[in-house]
Parts: sequence; structure tokens; C-alpha cells
Amino acid sequence: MAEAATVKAPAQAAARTPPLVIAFRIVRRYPLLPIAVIVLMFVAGAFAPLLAPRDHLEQQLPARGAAPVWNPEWYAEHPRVEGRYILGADQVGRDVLSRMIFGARISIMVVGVALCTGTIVGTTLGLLAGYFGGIVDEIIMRFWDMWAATPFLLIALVIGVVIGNSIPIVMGLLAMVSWSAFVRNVRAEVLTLKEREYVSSARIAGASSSRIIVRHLLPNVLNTIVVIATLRVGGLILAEASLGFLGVGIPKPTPTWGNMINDGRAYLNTAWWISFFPGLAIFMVVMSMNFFGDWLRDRWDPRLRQVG
Amino acid sequence: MRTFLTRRLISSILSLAGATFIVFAISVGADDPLLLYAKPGGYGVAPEQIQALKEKLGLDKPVVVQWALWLGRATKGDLGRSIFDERPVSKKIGERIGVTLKLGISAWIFATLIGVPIGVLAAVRRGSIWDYVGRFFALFGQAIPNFWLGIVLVLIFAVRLDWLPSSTVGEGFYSPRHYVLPVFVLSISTAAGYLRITRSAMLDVLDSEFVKLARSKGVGQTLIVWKHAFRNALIPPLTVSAVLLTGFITGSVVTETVFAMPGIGSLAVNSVQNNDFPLVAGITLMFVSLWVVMNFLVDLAYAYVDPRIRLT
Repeated sequence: MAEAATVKAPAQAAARTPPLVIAFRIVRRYPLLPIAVIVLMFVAGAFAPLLAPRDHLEQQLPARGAAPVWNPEWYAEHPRVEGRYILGADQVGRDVLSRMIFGARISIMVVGVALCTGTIVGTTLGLLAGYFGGIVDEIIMRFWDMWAATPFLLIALVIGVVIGNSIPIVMGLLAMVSWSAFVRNVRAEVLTLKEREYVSSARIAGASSSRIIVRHLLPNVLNTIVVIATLRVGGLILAEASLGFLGVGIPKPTPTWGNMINDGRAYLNTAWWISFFPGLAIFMVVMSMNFFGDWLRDRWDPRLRQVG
Repeated sequence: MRTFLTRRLISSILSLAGATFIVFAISVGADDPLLLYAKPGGYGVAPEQIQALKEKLGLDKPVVVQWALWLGRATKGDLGRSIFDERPVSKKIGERIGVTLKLGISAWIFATLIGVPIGVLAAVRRGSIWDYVGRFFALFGQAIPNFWLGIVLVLIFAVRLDWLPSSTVGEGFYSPRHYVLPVFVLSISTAAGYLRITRSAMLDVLDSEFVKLARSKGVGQTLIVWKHAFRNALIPPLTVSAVLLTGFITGSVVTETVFAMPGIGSLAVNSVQNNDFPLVAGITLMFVSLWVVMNFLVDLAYAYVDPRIRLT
């Protein structure tokens, strides 16, 4: 897969190869399936109100625990249920599929904000630590050590219980997990970059530190930043879901995938679909994101092999 | 070597102090803990009583002072008493830690036994079926939400097939039937992490000059893989061990919740829900110490495997 990306077919050979083989090559070379999953998630999130077959919050008591559409026996036994529920309904009769579609929207929003905040904070600290070195570096890196030792989930639990939970708090918590990955790599990158000739030339020409950092160093670490950010998305989606599962995530009844898994736990034996499908969605999206991140890293920044 | 260890020691102590302060400050920050004391039937608490309680718990002092006093007592082994049932925190932790350690150590052994050999195999037979299986497992293990995996496994093996028990830890010191599912759930992402790192480290080493030289000298494949390459490829997996261990701490909270195991993780969830701040702070201290000690051991192992580190 990743290795295949480097194999290039000679141009004239492509003319003779049958289209099926070319299609196969494209599939091997570009992570089309993962990209399709990610695009699907974004489309679902962006057009949630248009795509959702039902209202995601409306409770239909007759449809409590309605089975997925491929169980016609269930619908035959429950004639009062209106229509069919494609992936079933949950314990209070809300459509699982519609809630998953709206859950995609919440996930994108929360993870997006957290990742942007984390990227900005982490990159800034990494640039400062790498460029200035000395005491600045020491303070930032000791703070990093301390942060790495703090059990995130405990803090999240404590905050969730003491302060309460809301969407901004969850965003903040996830931002707290996401920044640290950037600091180390950006710092290491800057440490080598700042020895380059163009940086000393810029300094001799009278460029200020802030100009060197923003105009000369930042553009050179952008690749690294994008690769790390892509590799972090999966972890953040999982972290958000774990919070929801432990009951300190985004408050119910807002549908998030983690909340839905939590909802369905008590009904596993009678209605497995309540927990199963949201979990499957998390799994598919995280796997696609990681796969895409790996592919991007191999193309843009193979030095980062050790990350993640 | 000595300066290296001293630096690590200082930063470990800073980590301990900082991490406990963060948790301490947040959990004491709200005035809530007193409400727990207002039992039984306790809405008619007089202001004087609240004041007396505050003094007893030290809540009238600034947070920093409270934290410093708490840390001072903690170094002497006194973690205070739980607010909820007034039993010593160290005792409550002591009762529960066995389960978590058994779970964590089994998971770590399992993860290493799965991740490292398959990682080596995938690198040595690059492009073979082993490589594809290994890489798929690595992606799978790091993408699956472990609490969901736990739920699904309980559904399949405990509810539908009735092969394994669904919760608690069973009788005796170690009941394998009860530990199979939790250990699998807790170790899968760590195993995947080890596999990934071992594979890429082995690939790098196998591609290096000295391995080529050894090959051209006619050294056998087994010797090259295990003596020349493997020892050098050990460093990256060791480095990530520290990161993967934090995953265990988080993972044990979730896994113990899913499987209703009476360990530290579920104690943490309960204590937080009760806002039992001495207990929360004690558990945090324990988690962070565990992390610091493991990190320190990893550093030592590091210096043992890679002689270059000893010199710096």
C-alpha cells in the first residue's frame, strides 16, 4: 500500500495496460476507500438535517427498541410503529441512523475546534522552544513532561463532575490532549532548521526573531504539522467517545457516537444495534483517518515514521 | 550517566508535583465536598458547623497551601481519609490495586508477546501475507474504541455464546476465565502500537550498512535478525513504552467500567462522582507515581540497550 505508492509505471506501458489494471493501480496507490469514508462523514455532518431520515431527538414510544429494517418480523409484531427504522431505534424510540448522522456533525465540530486550538498552541510552543533554546526551552519542555504525566481521563472526570459538562468544556479538554504531540516534533525540526544558512543570512540581514520564526521557520514545519494533525484526529475522536461513554462528555440528549454507545449498554441483550452501529462508525472513521495520515506521512514526511 | 539520571529525577518530581496540583486544584476548587458531609438528612447544617468542617478539612486555607500540606503528609505515607466513608485513602487504594496491577501486567505481557514478534516477522518478510496481516492488525487495534470492543465481546462471548463470564474478577488470586476479555480489550491498542513501531524500526535497521556488511560476510539470517537487527530495533519500542503506559492508565478506567472490575479505575470513577477529593488526589498521585516510575525504568533500560545514552 504505502510502498506501492513509490512504484511508478512507465508512461508508454500505461497505454497498453487494460483499464481494469489501471483502476487497480489507482486503488493501490491512493487510499480511496479511507478518503471515501472521511468524505462521507463530512457530507453527513454538513447536510445532517437534509440527510437524516427522521428527527434525531423526537421520541416515538411505540418504536422503543425497534429493530433494523432487515427484521420484518419485528415490524409485523408491532403494527403501531410508523414506517421503518433503517438501523433500528433506541430505548426511547429515536432513530439510530439519524442520531448517527447528527453525531458526525458534533464530532467534526468538537474535534475540529480542539485540533485547531491544539495545533496552534503546540506549534507555537514548539517553535519558541526550538528557536530560543536555553531557559525558554527548559520551561516549555519541563511543562511538557509534567503534562505528559497527568492522567487526562482523571482530569476530564473531575472537571466533568465539579464544573459540569458542555460542548465548550469537551472542546477544551480535547485541546488539552492534542497540543502535546506537536511540541516535540516541531521543536526537533526547528533545532536543525535554525542552523541552516538561510536562517543565519536572514539574521545578518537584520530580520527580527519573530520574522524569522513566522516567515522562515513556520513554512518549513508546515508539512510536519499537517501530518501530525491528521494522525491525531483518530485519537481525538476516540477520546471524545470515551468521555461520552463515561458520562462526562457532551451532555445528553445531544447525539454523539460515544453517548449512543453509552445509551445502548444496558440494552445489549435486547437491542444490540443501539451501541453497535455508532461504535462501528467510530471504528471506520478512525481507521480511515489513521490510514490516510500514514499515507500522507509517507508521501510528505517519511522522517516522522516514529510518530503515533 | 549520572547527570542524565539526575535530570530525569528532577523532572519526575516536577511531574508529580504539577500533575497532583492540577487535579487537587480542580477538585477542591468547587466548594462541593462539604455537601457530602451534610449527611444524614443533612440540609439543616448550621453555618458554624460548616465553618468547623472547613477547618477540619483545611478548606479554609488557600488551595496552594492545602496542596502543599497534603503533599507533605503524602510523603510520609498519609493520604488522608476518604470523605465518603471516612476510611484511610491508602487503605482504599490498597484494596483495589491488586486487580488493576494484575490486569495491567497481563495486558502488557500480552501486548508485548503479540506486538513485538509479529512486528519483527512483518519486517523480515516484508510484503508477505504476515506483513499484510500485521499491518491490518496495527490499523485495526489503534482504531477500535476499546470500550465498544469490550461491549461487543461481552455480547458475543458472555451473552450469546455463554463461554465466558461478563464481569467481576472471580474467585481466588487470578481467575483466567474472568481476565481473558478485559486483558484482550486493554492490550489491543498497545499491541498494535508495539507492532507498528517494531516493524518500522526493524525495517530501518535491516536496511542499514552494518546489516548489509553482515550479510555479505555470510552471517546467517537468524543471527542477523536477532543479534544484529533486533537489539538495535529495540530502542523505538522502548521509547513508546512510556506513551503506551499512559494509554493503560486511561484504558484501565474504561475497561474496569465495562467489565465491572473492582480496581483503581472504577474506584476513580466512583470517587470523582462522589467528589471525594482526598481519594481523587490520592488516586492521581498513585497513577502519576506509577507513570513516573515506569518512565524511569524505561530510561534505565534505554541506557542499557543503547550505550550512547550513557555518555550524554
